[in-house]
Amino acid sequence: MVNIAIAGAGTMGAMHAASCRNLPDTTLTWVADPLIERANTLAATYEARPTPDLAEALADPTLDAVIIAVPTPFHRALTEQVAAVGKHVFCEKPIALSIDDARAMTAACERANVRFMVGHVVRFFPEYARIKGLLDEQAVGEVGIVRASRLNAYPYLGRGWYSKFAWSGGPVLDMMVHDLDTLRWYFGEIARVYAKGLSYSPHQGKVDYALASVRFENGVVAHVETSWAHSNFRTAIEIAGSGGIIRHASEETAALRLEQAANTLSSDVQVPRSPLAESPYQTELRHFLDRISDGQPILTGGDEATRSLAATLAVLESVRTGRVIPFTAGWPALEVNALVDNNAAAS
Amino acid sequence: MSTTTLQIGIISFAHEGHAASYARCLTAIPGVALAAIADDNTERGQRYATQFGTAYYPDYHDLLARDDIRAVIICSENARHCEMVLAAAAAGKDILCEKPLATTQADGAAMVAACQEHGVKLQIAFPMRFSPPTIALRDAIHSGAIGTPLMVKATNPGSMPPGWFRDPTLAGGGAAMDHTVHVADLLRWIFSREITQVYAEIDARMHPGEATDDLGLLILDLEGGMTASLDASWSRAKSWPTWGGLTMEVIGDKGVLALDAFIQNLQLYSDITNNYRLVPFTGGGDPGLVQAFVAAVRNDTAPVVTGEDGLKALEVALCAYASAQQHAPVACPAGLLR
Repeated sequence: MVNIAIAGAGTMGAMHAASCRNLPDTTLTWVADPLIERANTLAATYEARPTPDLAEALADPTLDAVIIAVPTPFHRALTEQVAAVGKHVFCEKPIALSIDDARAMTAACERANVRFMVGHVVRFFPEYARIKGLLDEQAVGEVGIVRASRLNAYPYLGRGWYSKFAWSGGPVLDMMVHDLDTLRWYFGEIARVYAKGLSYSPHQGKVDYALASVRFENGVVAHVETSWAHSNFRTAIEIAGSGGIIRHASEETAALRLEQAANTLSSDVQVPRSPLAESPYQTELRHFLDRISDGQPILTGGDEATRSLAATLAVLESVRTGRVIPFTAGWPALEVNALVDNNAAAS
Repeated sequence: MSTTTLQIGIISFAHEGHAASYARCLTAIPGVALAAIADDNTERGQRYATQFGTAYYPDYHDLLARDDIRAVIICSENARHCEMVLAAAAAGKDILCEKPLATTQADGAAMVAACQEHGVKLQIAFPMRFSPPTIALRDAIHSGAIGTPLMVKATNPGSMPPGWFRDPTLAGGGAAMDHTVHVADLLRWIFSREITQVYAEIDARMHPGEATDDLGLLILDLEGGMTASLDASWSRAKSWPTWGGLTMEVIGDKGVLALDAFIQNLQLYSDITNNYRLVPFTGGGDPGLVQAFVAAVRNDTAPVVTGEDGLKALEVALCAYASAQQHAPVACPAGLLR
């Protein structure tokens, strides 16, 4: 039996709580959130103990691991706090807002000899995992050009801190990090990036959008699009090679669609558009727990997540400066470390 | 090998794709072993026995004689389900039988009776009941998402399978037999209503030289005034990018739910194989189907898809053939006895 605490009773905290309930031999024992009403609500749903202070949960000797699902600026402090008491760490993505912070988190977990996984969940989506399998089988030969896209609406309501650029990094750090991480999984290290976007424009705050050209060391060229300018969430990917093309678009694989007559629209009816036997978030958490159990390497550990963060920060730096950002051995060769706020541009 | 390992055998890989899939699903379950394969096709049986690293018997009676085997999965030609189910029931084995249950109502009824008499479980392989999108459709309807369901437009087209499927004496019919039973079962399961009347057009028009029907269009009445149409055809051309599919559009008084159960695919355009095909990225219903059977055997609980369910779906298919002969709707199941 693995006992888990969740730090942060927001959207992702609730998602992970559901996974804990569904996974065998896994118990959610604590929910920590300084907003104690939120902690109370989530804890009551899953029969866990609420606390406003994570330290109270960490003092529980039966606790094995902590899921950190708080705004990104607090990832480092919480990861170090959890590692220091010898509990395993699962941290939401992006790992941090700076490469220094990300490396410090990874080092803290290594020093404490605890496992560390970052929630790059797209690698656990069955469609993206199946693409990895096809690529490993050389199903389309030598890959030439890739187009990846991840679109959503601007997070005005309900996702408060996401619209605060200095905390979330906008759609590039929130969403493009997924595609950059997944493409690194497919194609290896990046050679250079060049990108344009609205993150440092006066429009940021109402709309944000970015287009990136990514060249990989193995020669693959990728176009990566990310958006908080559309009306609903969707993803797409196309991989063209010497032997063919692999395509996926979430809009085209909705196995269940609900249309309601205009006079009877009911907003409380939710229908899953692509029902799966297991949610990708649960698959991801199962991977974490299995690797704790067998000691094998974690697919999205600290170093992988830090490299994907570096790629994402390089995209933002290119957007901000108009420069091409070259990479050496998987790390940006120019001075790229921390998220640069857009206050100057937006004011 | 642990004494608690549940030993299950597979009798015949005639329904080859399904048998191989069930074998993979079985071996993925902790504490379950594929104990043996029996197949009168020696080449096929030995090939799969080697692939799954298990024993092979040319004669299924030798598999049934093994006391360590608790249960069997039967994937023979449709017309041979009956003799094998009767033999397995007499040997005290729990049974998962490929669909359709049988090729005649008399056979099907005898199979259900024999399993009751010998106190063994009989589950029918209707994997669509375990497909996550289909489960979500049923949940959404039961939660009132479209109000009262009124009508259904369903399709279950495929490409014509090879070999014995094209021999009506072994398959019990063609496309209309092969593809009516899945949707008939889903309608009964989702709406908890029996099918009371069947109208059908059935013909052989798209595969010159083949003796068996390759198209079926059914109009079904359900209890309580619901109606449904069903396309049960082998209408997918060889160049179609996948084997076929299953769709259901349910029209209610407050909305419409549209299911496309096999749309969760990647698209693969290959210059290597010079074709375009769809590559599923989900496991479909087979894992859930086999897990449910294993759970019923282990926990000694009733199967969630019963022999009676298989018989009801078979009766709808048989009524479709009767209706097509008469050019008139027939009552179900009375119409098939006329």
